Amino acid sequence: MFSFFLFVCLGSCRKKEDPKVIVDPNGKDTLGKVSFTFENMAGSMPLDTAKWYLTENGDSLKVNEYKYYVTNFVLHSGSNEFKEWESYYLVDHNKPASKTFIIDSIPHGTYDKISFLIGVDEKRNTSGAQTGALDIENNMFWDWNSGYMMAKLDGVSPQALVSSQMVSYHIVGFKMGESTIRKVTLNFPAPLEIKGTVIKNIHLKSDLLEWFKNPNVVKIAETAIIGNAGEAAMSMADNYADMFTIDHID
Amino acid sequence: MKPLQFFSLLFFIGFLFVQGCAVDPAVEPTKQIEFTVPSGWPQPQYKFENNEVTQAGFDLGKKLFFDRRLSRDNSVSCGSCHQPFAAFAQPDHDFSHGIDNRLGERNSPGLFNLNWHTGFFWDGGINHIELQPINPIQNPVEMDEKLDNVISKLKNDDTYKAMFKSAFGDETINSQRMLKAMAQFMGMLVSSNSKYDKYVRGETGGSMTNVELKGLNIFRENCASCHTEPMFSDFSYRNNGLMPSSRNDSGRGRITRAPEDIYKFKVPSLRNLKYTAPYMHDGRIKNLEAVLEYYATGIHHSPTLDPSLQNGIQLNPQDRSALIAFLNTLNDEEFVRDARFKEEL
Repeated sequence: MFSFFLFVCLGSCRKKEDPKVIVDPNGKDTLGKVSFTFENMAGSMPLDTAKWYLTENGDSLKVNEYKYYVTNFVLHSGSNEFKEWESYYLVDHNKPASKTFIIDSIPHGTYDKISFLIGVDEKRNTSGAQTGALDIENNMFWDWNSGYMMAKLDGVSPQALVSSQMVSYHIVGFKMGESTIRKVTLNFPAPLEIKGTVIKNIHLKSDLLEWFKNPNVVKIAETAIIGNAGEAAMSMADNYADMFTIDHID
Repeated sequence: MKPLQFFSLLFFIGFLFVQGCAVDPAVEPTKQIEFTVPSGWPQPQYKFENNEVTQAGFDLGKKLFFDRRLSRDNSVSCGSCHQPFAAFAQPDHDFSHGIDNRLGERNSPGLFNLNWHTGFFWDGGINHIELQPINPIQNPVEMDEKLDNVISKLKNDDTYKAMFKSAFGDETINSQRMLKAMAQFMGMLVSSNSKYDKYVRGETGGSMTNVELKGLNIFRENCASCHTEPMFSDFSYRNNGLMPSSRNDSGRGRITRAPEDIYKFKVPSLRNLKYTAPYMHDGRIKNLEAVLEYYATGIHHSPTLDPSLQNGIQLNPQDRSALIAFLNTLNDEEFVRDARFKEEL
């Protein structure tokens, strides 16, 4: 019921910019912020689109475009949780500004873990034209078979047995039975206290090489292109589901 | 979350609700347009949730619909292949011509009563009316433009700035607003004033001849299991036995990747057939007589052929004429002449 009310409120207010004002009905601050920074890695090195990397199978890979949705952020405090209302972010490796964002209006308290989805939930895949990170202009929406690409990796590999040695993984699928939405839950290294005006910054790393291993070793010679929902896309999503770690909080 | 935190959050949300939705006195409230479900019709799929129809929004959607700048070289609009006088189909074309005279791959369907559709395109690949226009805009054989380029063109146009402001309260132009405005126009295209409709509602202009009534009975016995009244489609996907052409269009099968969906296409409405020939997903049949002959003798058997068509539809010549007489009562002259839907010249 509560979340329904939220939805109605957001829906009816969509013509306006999301209000950023923090109100303080009790005469003292009760809501705080936390910021997130995503760093894309290839193994232990920061991902560089000019460099070649070796996958688990020993294939060479250079990355041109790398984007993924992280959505539906929840901060957990024991059995309580805080859900961000409009929680959709598109991390685009070629757009540094997309790798940092702030979640605000978090009730003061001590939190022990965070969870989020890699991908866009079914609701927003079936609710018509969206804005912000979900704007069609971000080129993450399929125009012939409804749905968002949850993650996208385009590059080249000499092992790719297709013309121009293209590697192209467009991971789609939100429906039951073909869903590539994956939930990530990460414990904070130490309890995270949100209070006052201090903004803690959570630094996450994501290892792109995880796309190619654990649990499924991907051989580029066999799978250079994934362009539809189904087994290959779900298998890849299973691989990258564990690519995130919390590096540190400062 | 402690109870106190919970209630303070609730209070905060209530505050946002009031604040966020307060009417800006600087913006003239625009006139709402009521969307009415014709009497006796089911509730539509799309009820303009979060997209209340206003005169300004409808006008903007209509301008976009007929604007050739939505294509790469500014030569093709939605209205090029969806013409109001043809119930928003394109008459006499099996495939429409897109940009650079490139031919499409499926017949351009009439556009009406779209709010009742559960999926868009012949294969139902798109699940929401607001997301429908993206494909024809970006399809290389249709308008071959990128949505972000379209938005750039609109942002450089003062008329659009003013129209977006009237429709949405400020001059912000983005794809969501563009698509919502187009959904307002397309969703308002309701065709419900055919002779049949007036007959069902008991209105003047609805008196059917004996032949038409005979045709109605024949229709209900032979066609209505798929072409369900009052939409004259159940909006399911079925293989009606057309021999696959060299294009080998697998239809719904391409969307679901399920072998049982190969060669299935959305059951089209039988409303406004007078204006929307040729027929079938690839426009291969030119007139209604040939359609009935096809259902009698032309059906190609394949594993996904609809069970209801295993023996075709066998009608004697008198029954065929009566059925066609009935189908012609589904033509909505008021709809195709409706001044609200015509291109402003």
